[in-house]
Amino acid sequence: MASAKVFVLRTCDGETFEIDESVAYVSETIKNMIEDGFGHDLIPLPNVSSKILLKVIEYCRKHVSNFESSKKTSNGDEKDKDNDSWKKEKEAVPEVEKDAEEKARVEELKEWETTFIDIDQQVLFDLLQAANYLNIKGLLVMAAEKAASMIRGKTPEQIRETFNIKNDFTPEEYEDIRKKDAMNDFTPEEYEEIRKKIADNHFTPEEYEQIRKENAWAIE
Amino acid sequence: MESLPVEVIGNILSRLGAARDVVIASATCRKWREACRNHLDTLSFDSDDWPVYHDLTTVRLEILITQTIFQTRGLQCLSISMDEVDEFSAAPVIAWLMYTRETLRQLLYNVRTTPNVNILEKCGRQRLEVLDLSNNSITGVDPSYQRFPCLKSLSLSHISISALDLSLLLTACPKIEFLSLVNPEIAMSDSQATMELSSPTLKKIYFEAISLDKFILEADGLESLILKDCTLEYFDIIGKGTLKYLEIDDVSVLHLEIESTENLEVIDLSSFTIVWPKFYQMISRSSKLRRLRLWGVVFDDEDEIVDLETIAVCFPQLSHLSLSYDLKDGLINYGLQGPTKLENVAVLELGWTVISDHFSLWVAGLLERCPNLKKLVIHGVVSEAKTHEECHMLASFTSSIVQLMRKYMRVEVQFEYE
Repeated sequence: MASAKVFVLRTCDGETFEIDESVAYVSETIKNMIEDGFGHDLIPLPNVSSKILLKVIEYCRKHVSNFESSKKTSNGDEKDKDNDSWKKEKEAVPEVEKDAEEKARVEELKEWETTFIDIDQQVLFDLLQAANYLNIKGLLVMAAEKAASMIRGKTPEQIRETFNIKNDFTPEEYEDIRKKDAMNDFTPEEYEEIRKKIADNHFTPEEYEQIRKENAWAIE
Repeated sequence: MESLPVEVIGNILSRLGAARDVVIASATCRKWREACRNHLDTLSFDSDDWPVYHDLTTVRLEILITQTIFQTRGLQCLSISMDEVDEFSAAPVIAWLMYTRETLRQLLYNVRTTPNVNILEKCGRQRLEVLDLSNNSITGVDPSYQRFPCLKSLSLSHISISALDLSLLLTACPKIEFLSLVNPEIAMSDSQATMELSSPTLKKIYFEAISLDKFILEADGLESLILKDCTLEYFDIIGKGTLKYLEIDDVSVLHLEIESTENLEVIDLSSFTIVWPKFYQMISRSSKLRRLRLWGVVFDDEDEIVDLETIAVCFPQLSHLSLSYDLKDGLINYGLQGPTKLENVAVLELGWTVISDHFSLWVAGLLERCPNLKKLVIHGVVSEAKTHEECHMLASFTSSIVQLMRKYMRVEVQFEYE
């Protein structure tokens, strides 16, 4: 292999990682640091743990190799590095018929992506942080999509539980929100059921505790 | 989660799309509420997203949509697709469009408005990249002040527009790359229905359910053209030979003229009614053709039949050939005459709509012409009421295929029956 430049990254827990220039450049932040002259020694990443950096490097390496093979299958056009399914923006212009090789490459990439992002929640959040700090667009998109998929279809309380979020609205604020947004929390049937139950007080202790928490402003 | 910046939360919530999910997310905590207020770029009201939409009155929906949109700032993608709603009143629709005018990049809207709203007039034009409109009318297009400098994709479905306005609209979109027209109601001024469209930047076109007497399309950068369920008398495509992909399905054209066909790579025709000799002449220049599909087409006499010699000579790079048409007596041999082999054909798809004895002979003839074939796919239509005769023919076809394929052991065979 030709003399590819190598850079050394150091994580917050003191580990070092060696990566090629092309892989390093996938991160805009690292790219800027190198271009500003900080690439000679270790590049410190105090906000990133080694566990997460491993994952990030895995992504960057895949990104580089995918870009290389896409150059071969396309007509050799200068394609934007951020192109492909990494972007996931709504296709403004549907692609003209791809040939079989190109289709296969895109398929393989999608499969790789699915496996890559099949991670537990804490790793996902750390990855979001890292992708944001290191300014890696494609990774941020992938992680954000995954996070969105974990939010879809849940109630506010379920979301708070999943993401360990504290409900920091005051009762008045929350009342205001509920009034404005007819679409949150309960379906009309659910709400009707709850109203009836409150009247008859047929709740289990757990149900009541939940409802009491959420409707403190009205019940207490 | 606490330490993620509000912009990143906004990024995540922008991927939810469905308005209900967004609103629920905004009720979880302050930071998420702020993210929805200031960093949300996508909002979608789609009747498929939430069953309760169907139970709400139109007025309630208008209020709901207004309240939600007005709690955001800087929305870039707005999608309102409510199939069960007859019409929205003009006032809220205008409010939605005006509120998002400065920042909107993508708009999808499919509900009739009453009285009719001139959406092109009211929506943001400066940054708009994707516009998808259905069930509305477009009138009074004036390119001198109505310009869409960033519009790349325009989809109009069940839109009422005059031929002149459509033509003017294209000139108002200097960067347009994709145009889709589905079942338009095109008002003509002449007694003869003529449409003239011109755009040097259009790359991909999709036309469905269009019926015109005369259509002149000038598109110097056109790469892909798809026509479905259209009836055209005269269709003239003027270009600079950039067309690579042509797909025609359930269309009848009396006179079709494509200026330069040299770079065509894929020709996919099904249920296509045309004067074949002229058509063949036109595509005979497509020496780069990789895929050819002639499916469910009708040939009236031997002048029209697809003849393999011409295909082999004109399309040396052909790698995928699909043929399915009514095999009339005597015409098969005519089509199979000639010495030239289809050297590069790797995939052959052959189909019948009504099975006949000739079919296996035809398959055999074609296999002989494709020395490097890797895969053969047989498409058959099996009628519901299987007559004794049909079963017998299917059986004899099966036997003959088994025998035939023994000669071509390297070829993978697949069957698709419907």
